[in-house]
Amino acid sequence: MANPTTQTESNALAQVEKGESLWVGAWHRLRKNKMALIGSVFILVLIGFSFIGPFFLENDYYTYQELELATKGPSKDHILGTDHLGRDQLGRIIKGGQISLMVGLVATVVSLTIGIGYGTISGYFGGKIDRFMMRIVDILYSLPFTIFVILLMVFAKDLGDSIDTWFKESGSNFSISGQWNMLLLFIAIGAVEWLTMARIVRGQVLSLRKQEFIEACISLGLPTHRIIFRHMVPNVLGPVIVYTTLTIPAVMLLEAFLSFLGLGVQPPTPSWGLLIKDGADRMREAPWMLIYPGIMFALALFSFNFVGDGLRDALDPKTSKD
Amino acid sequence: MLKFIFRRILETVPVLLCVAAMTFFMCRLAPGGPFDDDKQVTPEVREQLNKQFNLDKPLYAQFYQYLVNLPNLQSFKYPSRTVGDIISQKFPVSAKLGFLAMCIALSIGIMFGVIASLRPNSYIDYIPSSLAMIGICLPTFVMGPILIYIFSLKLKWLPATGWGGFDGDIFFASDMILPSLTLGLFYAAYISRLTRGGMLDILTQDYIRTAKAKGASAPRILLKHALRGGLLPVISFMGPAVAGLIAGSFVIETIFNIPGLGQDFVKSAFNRDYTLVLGVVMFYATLIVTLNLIVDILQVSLNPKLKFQS
Repeated sequence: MANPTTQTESNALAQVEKGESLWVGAWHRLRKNKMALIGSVFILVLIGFSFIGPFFLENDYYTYQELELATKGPSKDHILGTDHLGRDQLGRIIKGGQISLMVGLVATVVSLTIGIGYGTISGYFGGKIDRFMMRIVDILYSLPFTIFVILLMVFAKDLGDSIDTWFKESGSNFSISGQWNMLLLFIAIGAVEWLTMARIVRGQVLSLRKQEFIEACISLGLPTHRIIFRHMVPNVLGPVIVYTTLTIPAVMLLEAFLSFLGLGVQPPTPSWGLLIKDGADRMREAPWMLIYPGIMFALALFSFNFVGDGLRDALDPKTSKD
Repeated sequence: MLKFIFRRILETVPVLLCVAAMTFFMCRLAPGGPFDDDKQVTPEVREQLNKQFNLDKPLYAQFYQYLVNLPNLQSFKYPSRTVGDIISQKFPVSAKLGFLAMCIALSIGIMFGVIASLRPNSYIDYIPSSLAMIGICLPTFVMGPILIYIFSLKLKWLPATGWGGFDGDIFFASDMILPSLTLGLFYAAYISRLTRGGMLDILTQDYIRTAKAKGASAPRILLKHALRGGLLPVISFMGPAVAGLIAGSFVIETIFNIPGLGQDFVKSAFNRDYTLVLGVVMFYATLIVTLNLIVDILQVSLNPKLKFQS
């Protein structure tokens, strides 16, 4: 038998105005930010351009050479022109986008993992451990890190070959020298960019630790790793997402910087930084070689930065004036 | 305050030692050596070279020798010159580039930031803020070639490469404008965003309202009360900015063909010129650590809140 009182009660409950959760509210605020929306649409376009574009092209679209067509401006066959070796510039930019975006994402994930792990541990344990761990971060902050990345890229360049000979001697066919430089880029950049993330996460965890639901977890006797990964990490997600979107352009910038100095990805594989370098060297006779990759790169940085800024404003109403 | 300064100075010693050790062992663990390029070298000659440059001694002995005598050691690639010679000859060029760039960055950045913060979310905010965003998204290696293309190749106003005219010792030459502008604009963009954020924070504080209520004039509030607090984020950015300027100068020196220290550093790493690499890294590290120290002290002396904590 239905109980009439529970019926009305649930009706009344349904009429209570629903509070906006953090994420719903953030979404509403983000939707109002036009630049952030344009930015996120453009990121999707860029990803489609770089990763779906190749399906409409030949297999060797970024290495195929027609030497007699070298350094020709935009035409019907090559709408963005050709480079100094007669390769189609559009194909090069597509492949370069794949590499640049991939380095941006993977190296960011590397730095994210280190930063979150380090920051959570430091913030959770607090006290002496926290002071010691943050002192290390402070010291690392004051080091000339770009210089170390340059040294690492130069010195470890030949290490891939050494590893391959070692594998060959031990009778394995495994080879990494093809991917070695990419791998090195991920590690080197990831190792540099985690510091700020560690600081942000630590600050968040420190303030979370004093809240009641964490105290409840502790008094319930939950194991430490469960408290950290089930209850703390999800609560620091907001600032982490914001900072991640802002780390991606920083990482892409560092990769392009290294490629520009000839230390990043190795030819014939292009990245946007490498294409800009090639273009800057030949700007007098072939300005299109500089302009198009430059525009793509700037637009990518633009979109990521706007989305990051928009997310920060949306997730943290306090800073929305910033 | 004195105790704080003393503690910070003491802390730089282990940091610099760490940098030296990391650089040295990274150099020596990497495959390849300084004489690999010269293919005709016979084993006897190589042995002699190793002896001449002390490469036959155990690693820790070499490290110790590098530490105590770094500026006087010979460069492997240019044996007639010592590390100290090369740095003292090349660094003034890089320093001048960095100084000019910093002046441009600070003057443009602070001006734009302050203007943008006066009326948030209006046109005098949007225009400088958008320009700053464009500046951040145009890294030096895109901005440099674009500026060369416009001002040197098309308009023919400024020279595209070089530094200080033919002799290289002119105090100011027109070929210094483009490199310093390229390097400076990128940081101007950052500084203007930091200034705007800092000023927005300060301008809503109670003491600014008090100053207004007392009838202080707008310029006086801005210059005397707001700027001091509003520029704190910019001051804490100065340490990283100098480190960034150094890294940026590597690129600028390549684009504009400037004979500075950055070009030598990248070349020396490729050449496995151990002494020069270590010398340049230690020189830059000392510079950055010292500047960080000054920034820290400035911050504490400008921000009363920090003074009580220390």
